[in-house]
Amino acid sequence: MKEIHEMTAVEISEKIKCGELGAEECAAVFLDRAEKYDGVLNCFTYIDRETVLKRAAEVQKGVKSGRYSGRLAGAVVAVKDNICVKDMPASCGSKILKNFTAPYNATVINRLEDEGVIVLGKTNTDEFAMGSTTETSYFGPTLNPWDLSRVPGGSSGGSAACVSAGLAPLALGTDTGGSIRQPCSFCGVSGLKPTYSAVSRFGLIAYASSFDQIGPIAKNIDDCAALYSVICGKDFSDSTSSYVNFDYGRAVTPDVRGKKIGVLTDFSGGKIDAGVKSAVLKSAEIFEELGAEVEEISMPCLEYCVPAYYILACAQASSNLARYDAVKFGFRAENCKSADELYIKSRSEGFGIEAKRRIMLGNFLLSAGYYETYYKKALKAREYIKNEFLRIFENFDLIITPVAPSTAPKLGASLKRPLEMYLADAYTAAVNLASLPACSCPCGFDPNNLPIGFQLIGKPFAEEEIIGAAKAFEEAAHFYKNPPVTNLSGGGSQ
Amino acid sequence: MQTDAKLIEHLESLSKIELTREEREFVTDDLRQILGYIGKLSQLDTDGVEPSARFALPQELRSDDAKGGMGSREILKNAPAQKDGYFTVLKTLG
Repeated sequence: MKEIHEMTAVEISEKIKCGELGAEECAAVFLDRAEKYDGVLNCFTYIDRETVLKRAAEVQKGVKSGRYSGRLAGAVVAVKDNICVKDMPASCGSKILKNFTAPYNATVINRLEDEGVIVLGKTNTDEFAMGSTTETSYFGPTLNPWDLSRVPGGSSGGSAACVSAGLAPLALGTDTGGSIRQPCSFCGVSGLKPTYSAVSRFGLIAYASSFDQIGPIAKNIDDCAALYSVICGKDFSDSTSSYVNFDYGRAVTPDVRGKKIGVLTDFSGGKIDAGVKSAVLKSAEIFEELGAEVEEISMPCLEYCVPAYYILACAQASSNLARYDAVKFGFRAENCKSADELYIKSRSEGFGIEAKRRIMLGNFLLSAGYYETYYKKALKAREYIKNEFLRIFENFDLIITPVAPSTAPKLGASLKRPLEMYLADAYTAAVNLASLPACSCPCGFDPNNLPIGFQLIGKPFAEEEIIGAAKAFEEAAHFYKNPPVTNLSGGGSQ
Repeated sequence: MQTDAKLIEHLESLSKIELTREEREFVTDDLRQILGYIGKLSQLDTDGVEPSARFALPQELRSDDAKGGMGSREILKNAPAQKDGYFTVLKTLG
């Protein structure tokens, strides 16, 4: 029999509901594993054992009484630290919010609690979700469970790494330019970036509001679908949220026969590792064997996605991060003599360099004389890119691409070459620009035994279609594996 | 475009951020690289394309009913400084 930490969340919940396992027993397994392994991995920024066990006991009662009967009742979920969970810290990986305790639940957390899902703790992230490596966190980097000398990806690196290492069966991440999909790819787990507006952003601490989306991270696509089905849909606390017609049962029915899938691996100005390219092309072949019609496509505008994305994301970040003024919440510098000095000193001491440079770049791009050249041009490029996707979707049902052009880089390597790090976001950021849904699925390993992932992109609100295809792939080819246990305790290859 | 000291100083002032000397060197260098890179966007022909904000979605607003808020005690819990149920700030007028 599988050990509890090897089971999916749906499996764990089933066993809890039929009385074979207890909710407290299951929660304790993950708490113990986090205690044992997280000293090395640094996936969590906050865990409180007592709160988790108390909640698990309540949920256990609720399961017995029939109050909680859903697909994930009794399972635990790790939550990225930019999502508010009442009475838990929400630091966003930043010193400026180090002592901030969320006074309310994000809508996604309310929905999970109503289902009897237990919040295990908060996970590490790049500062304000700005980064692709989880190295810009004030709390230090999270390590990749597959190779401790490498990054887990980011910004949802804590969430992806903790699922990969079996410290939680499920996690919530957020995706602004690839921050769910890319760490999933680097850590060998599955993730879903929903259509923009499909999941409420109420209680998500904003980075770039027109891109940010909360989404699931799990061992397989089934669990992603189960978690997504709980969190999606209209919320009147977020006026941009949409009604969503998503059916879990329909979604997880393997379905790819007759679908037309466009394959996109190369673009002008982009570099891709041979191993990653061949794994994605091999995956496309598997889809073909499963009855899909597969055809290579090109999208010349892909090389403009990263510039457009960075302009818009930084501009929005500079507005969103203006609220950190050391008055109502957050870090306050000492010995200030004027209000202006208070703002400047608190922000200068509270923000890390990545947040500072994005705020400054954003303010530059929005200033008089540059607004038209950069910001407005980027908005036009966004529309252009969205239209290009819709044009492709006139002839195709899905698009398969690599998630990232390489596997997980070494710690420290990306920060020395930021431009290269941003360029690697092209495949994922394109999807955020067009507000489309996409999932990331494991599809192989490179010669260093590091996971590779592909991305399946669908039309707006085609989450069921994406998941159905991913499920068919998963059933045909099993690429999900547990990372070597020697790694988790720091004894693995360096 | 010049990313000279004056521009960085202006951006620091707009951002209410004061960089250390080391950070300033990094940001100056970084800004020069980034602006060079994002400048390539001008090569994309967007004539006739309308600027987009995001997907046009059907918007439905909630009814305008009063709902219970959190209350000042809950909100003040996160305040870095407070007195008698108010946020404490420094003098803003001379």
